[in-house]
Order: sequence, then structure tokens, then C-alpha cells
Amino acid sequence: MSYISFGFYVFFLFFVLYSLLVPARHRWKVFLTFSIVFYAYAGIGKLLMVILSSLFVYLFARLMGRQYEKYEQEIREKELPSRERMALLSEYKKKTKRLVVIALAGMIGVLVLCKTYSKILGLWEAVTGDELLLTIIVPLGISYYTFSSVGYLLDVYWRKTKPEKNYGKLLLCMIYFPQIVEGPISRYDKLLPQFENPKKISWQRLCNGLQFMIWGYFKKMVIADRLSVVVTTVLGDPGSYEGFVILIAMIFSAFHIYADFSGCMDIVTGASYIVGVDLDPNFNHPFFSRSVAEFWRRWHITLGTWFKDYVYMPIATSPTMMKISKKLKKGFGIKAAKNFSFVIPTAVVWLLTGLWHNASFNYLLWGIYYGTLITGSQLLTPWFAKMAKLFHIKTEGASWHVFQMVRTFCVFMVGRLITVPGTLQGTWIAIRQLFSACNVWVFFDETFYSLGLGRTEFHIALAGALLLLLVDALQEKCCLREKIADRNIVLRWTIYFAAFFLVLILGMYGSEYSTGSFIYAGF
Amino acid sequence: MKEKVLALLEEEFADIDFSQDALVDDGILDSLTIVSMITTLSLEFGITIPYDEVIPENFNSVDAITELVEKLS
Repeated sequence: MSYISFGFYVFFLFFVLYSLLVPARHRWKVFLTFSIVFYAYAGIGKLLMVILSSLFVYLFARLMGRQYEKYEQEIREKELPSRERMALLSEYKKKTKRLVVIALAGMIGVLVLCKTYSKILGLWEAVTGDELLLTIIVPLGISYYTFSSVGYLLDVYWRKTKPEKNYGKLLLCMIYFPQIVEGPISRYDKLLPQFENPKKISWQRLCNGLQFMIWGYFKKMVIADRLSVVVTTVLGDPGSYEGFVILIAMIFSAFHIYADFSGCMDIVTGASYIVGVDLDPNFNHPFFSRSVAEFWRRWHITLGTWFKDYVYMPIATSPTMMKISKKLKKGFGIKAAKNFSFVIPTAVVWLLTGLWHNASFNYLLWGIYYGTLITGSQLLTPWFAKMAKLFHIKTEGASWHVFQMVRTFCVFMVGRLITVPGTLQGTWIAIRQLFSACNVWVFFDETFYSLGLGRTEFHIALAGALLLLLVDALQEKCCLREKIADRNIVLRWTIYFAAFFLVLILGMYGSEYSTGSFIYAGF
Repeated sequence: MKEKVLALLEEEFADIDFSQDALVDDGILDSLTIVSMITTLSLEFGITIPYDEVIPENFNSVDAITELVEKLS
């Protein structure tokens, strides 16, 4: 069920009504029932798959928890001193390590299989010449629930959280419908207390939640779905366009994915907010970032946090890394050791981030691109500082900040160029065509109106992108939502109704548009 | 031990005020700095800090860091 469909609106209305009728401590049962219905709508086979996965996660987390309970009991009974307690813990950790390895292999194995099976079949056909008529069921939101459940299993293994005893609540964490399609990738230790004790559904929550949702629908249906037409037309066939047309498509592509993904996040955040559950934010005005590293702390925040907590930090602090760092310190000094403990985990994180999006060469290259930029800029920080001093650059001045933001946006656009054409050949053609002509005249003739959108539609898309930037700029400076809420009732509701009718009037509908499919739902 | 840990941290991370007692909770230490700190402590004291000990409570103050080093030494 798409978040942009009449069926969803009716479903959501009943969801809110039932949530209102049921006392807060039982509300999680409403959430679970509706989430199961939402999931079953995608396919009963998919639902069975996710139930099996959740049982697997539940069982292994409980088994690990049992080992730690035994450990706690033993240290209580024997009253062991600190050092002996550590030794006993490492014995128990050996047992739980086996369990966590099996659990992670199972969860990640299924994810890898789902992401690569079409390529495996293609390879099989290429090698043997036989066509394999195999299909597998890819569960809805597998990339998202696998990552959150892997995080949960690791948290239990590292004793950072206790295993959940109620299976229904764990299943709810995995399939909670506002976050199953595109995330955010939630941490169960943050979600569970909210399911057990959701905040009171109030008039203010309803208004704020609806504000979020309307702005989300506006971003998706008015901005993203229009920009998408130009992006698909130009970057889907880059050989037919050149120069500034490619550049405009690149700019549109950056705004397109932002409006699409953050729009979906606003819709689901608002929906969940209404019933008293606050989802983790996934965006923080990324286009105002002054460096690539900062950009990725503001874009898809929950994925970045996940990689930091479960890949970067464990690798960087692992005994193997420490051993190598020790050797490097002896040979090359502490700086080399520290750089090593930063570069290796960052490189691994970015390769995995690329492959998480898609198991393709384009995304592998995309991961290498960002990994190189982030490690390079960190390692060269002292050199950049020297250069700034040498050229008398005022790094705290507003113009320098604007330059840094534009530079970061350009880096992001190039990143989009690596993935949007779909193949490495397509990316190469787009880059070649970008520099093949200096066709300034396209800004003055009708060229832009022949890229899938007519004159009016093109101008709405452009105005929408600028509005998005303006709203982000106001929110970056202050709290726009709260400011609107402080206005008198007439002005406030005029703004709400205007936004609502703008979505109704300007939203892209119809079979020729891809309304309903979100980019990140495909990852 | 505390003096030794403090001297080491102040030398390696000169721009951080270690008199605070919510270094992680207040966002003074980010993940990059914590990794760098773990590397420094491991190399200097010859200890291995398991990842389940990498929690805010163990890095919020010099006292907590010292306690961690002592526990793992």
C-alpha cells in the first residue's frame, strides 16, 4: 500500500481512530494489528517471511540474554572481584558470540540473497545458457528491518540492551508500518518504550502531525514527481543531451531525491507523531552543509548513525586494529596509527553504504567516491588550514561558508551522476556530454520545455525546488513550524489550507506519473 | 593513575576541557575523537577496550576513563 493512495488515507484514518479509542498502554496492539494488515497488503508470502525473520531474531536475542542472566546470577552468588568478573564475562561472551554470529549470518545472508539474486540468475544464464525460472519473495522493507534487527542483536550481544521478552512488541519494532517502506532505521531500545507508553494523542499533536504530512506530500507530489520527469528524460538518455541541459538535470536530480526521500520521511514522521510515537529524524537541512562529512551527518541520519555504531566504531576499536596501530606507532609515529584507525573503518563503511543501496558497480564506485573524499578531507585538514592561512582566506566569513555549501552541493550532484544513469557507461556518457558544449542559449529558448514538462509545469518544478530551499533556510535559521503555530488562528489555518489545496491542485496524479513509488523504497 | 590519564589526554587533545563530567552526553567528544582516544589509551597503557565498554558512562569524565583503564589493566 503506497503512502500516496486513497487506500492508505482510509487505512490511516481508521488507524488514528482506533489509536484514540484504545488506552495508551494497549495502543501497541493497535499499532501491531495495523502494521500486520499493511504488510499483508504487500503479500501474504512477504508477511510470512518477515514473521519467520522476527521469530529468528527473537529466539537468538533471548538465547543470548539467557547466557548473560546466568553470568549475572553467577557473579551475584560468588561475589567475584572486578578482574575475575571480567574473566568470567569473557567466557560467557564466547558462548554468546557463536549465537550472534549465526543470527547475523542468517539475517544478512537473506538480505544479500534478496539484493543479488537477479544478478546471480543473470550470471548463471550467461555461463550455462539455461534460463532458471526461480523467483524469490523479497520482503517489504528488508533493507530497513534487517539493519535495525542486526543493530538490536548486536546491542544484546554487547549488553547495551536487554532482549525483549514480548514477541509481539519485537515484531512491531520490525514492521511498524510508518517506517517499513523507507525507514528511518530505528533503534529498538528507543522504539520499545514509546510503544509501551505512547504519548497522549492531543489536538496539538494532530495539527503538528498533519503539518508534517502535508509538507511531505507537497514535497513528493508537487516537487519530486515533477523534477523526476526531467531527470528521467535527460539522465535516462544522456547521449541525446549536452552542456547546460545535463547540468540542469544534475541540479534537478539532487533536489528530486531530497524532495522524494525527505517528503516520505515527513509523511511517516507526521503519521507516527499523531499517535504518540516520535520517529528518529532522518534529515537536518543537508544542503546547508559545509563539508561532505557534515552532509552525511545531515542526510539519511539513521543510516549514518547505524554505520557509525555497528560498523565504524567496532572496527576502529577492534583488537586487530589496535595491534596494527601499535606496530604503526612504533614504525611511523602516533599520527600514522591514528590515521590508520580512521581510514580503514571509514573505507569499509562507505563500501558497505554503496552496496546497501544497490549491489552494482555504480554504487560501488559511489561508495569509493565518498569514502575517498571523506578520508582525504580529514587527512588533509592540516594542509587545508595552512593553505587558508597562506592565501589569507577568512574561513569564518559568510562568503566562505556559502562557497563551502555550494561546493558540497556540487559534490553531491556528481555523486548523483554516478548512480542515476544506472550503468557506468551511462555515467561516462553523461560526464562526456556535460563538457561537450557550452550551450548557454538553452536558458533563452524553449529547450527546457521539451524535457517532459511543458512551460508551466517546468516553472512549477523550479519554483517548488526554490521553495524547498527557502523553507530549509528558514528552518536552519529558526523554528519555522513553531513560528507558524504561534500565529493567530485565521492566518495559521489559511496557511494549512493553502498547503493542502496546493497539493490537491498541483500534485502529480495519473498513470503516466510514478506517484506512489519512492526512490528509497527500492534500496 | 588519574594524573597520568589526564596528562596524556590533555597532551593529545589540547582543545578539549577535561574538567567537564558529561563529555559524551554534552557532545564534546564525537565518535572520531572517541576512536582516537581509545587508540591513544590502548597504545599507552597496553590495554584492549572491548566495544561493549564503549558507552557514554565510561567516557563522560576523566574519572570514568581512569576507572575504565584501571579495570582493563
